[in-house]
Amino acid sequence: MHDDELTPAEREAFAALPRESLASDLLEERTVRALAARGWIHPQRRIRAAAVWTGAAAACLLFFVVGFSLGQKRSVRPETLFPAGAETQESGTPAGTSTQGMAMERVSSKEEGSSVAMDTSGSLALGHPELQTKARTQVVVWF
Amino acid sequence: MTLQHGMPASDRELAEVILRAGSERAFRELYRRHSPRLFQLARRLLGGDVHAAEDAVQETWIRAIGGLGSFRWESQFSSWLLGIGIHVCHDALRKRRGDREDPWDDTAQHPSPDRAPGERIGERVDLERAITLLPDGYRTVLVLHDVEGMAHEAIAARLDISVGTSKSQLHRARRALRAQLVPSGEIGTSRGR
Repeated sequence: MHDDELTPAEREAFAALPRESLASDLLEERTVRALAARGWIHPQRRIRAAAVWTGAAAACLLFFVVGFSLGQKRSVRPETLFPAGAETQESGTPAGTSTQGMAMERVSSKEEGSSVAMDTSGSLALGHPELQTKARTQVVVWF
Repeated sequence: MTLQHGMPASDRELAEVILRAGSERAFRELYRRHSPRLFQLARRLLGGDVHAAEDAVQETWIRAIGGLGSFRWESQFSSWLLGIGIHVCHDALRKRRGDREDPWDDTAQHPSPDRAPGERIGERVDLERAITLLPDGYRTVLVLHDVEGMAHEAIAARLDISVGTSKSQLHRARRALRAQLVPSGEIGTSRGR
């Protein structure tokens, strides 16, 4: 074998050496930072998945609170639904009697409030289409 | 990264996006495309020192992106990048050596390379390991010529040495390598990883 020539086996051995090798991911980040520090590349805004989920959860919570507050404000208040005059006219009973009946049915819990509205829409509000509609709407709001 | 025509972006297209908009995404694409080759070359030239090779890769990209605007695209981007990498590694080796010795001195008597505890003279060692054990000047020319396939003229131009020096360094490098690998002195009987 001539000293300056590679044998076929030697060529093959050199050719079999790997030409590529993966460096660590940290090196890529390091290099990106170094280039960004020089102003040659502009780093992308990274919105991480955790931040997205946190934002979504916060938005849901806010939506719920706002919805709940609105619902509270627009909750069924039977005394505002049925003015005393209307009840008297329709049922033919004295206004005082009707108000007494309503007072007995008026309860503090919201669930029962909705049942009052349903009852009134079915009985007391008979003959008053605008009141029926309002009562139904408020029942829907409750649910 | 693909462009509007749906084909993967070429090196030149990515480079233009980097120059025009400083796109990190385009840079990452270019980086991932060429860094494995660059890292392997740097690791070999720097004698298997992974940390030094990583530093060299980073420095190469810094120099490449800094000079991207002046690249004329008359050669392949990969060749240009590897050329910068060779310079960076050459600088790193020079810095590491200091002024203690001239790696291209043909008259210098290089000491026997350090051997791992289990390695004895005449015992087979892995080709990759044997390359790392060569003196810097020998290893540089051998890697560029026998592994990377560069011509002596190109090596001489890259390393700022004469063609004659490149040839003599290669001759000595092969002789040293054969002596390390097997008693019979043939490289091919020991395969690299």
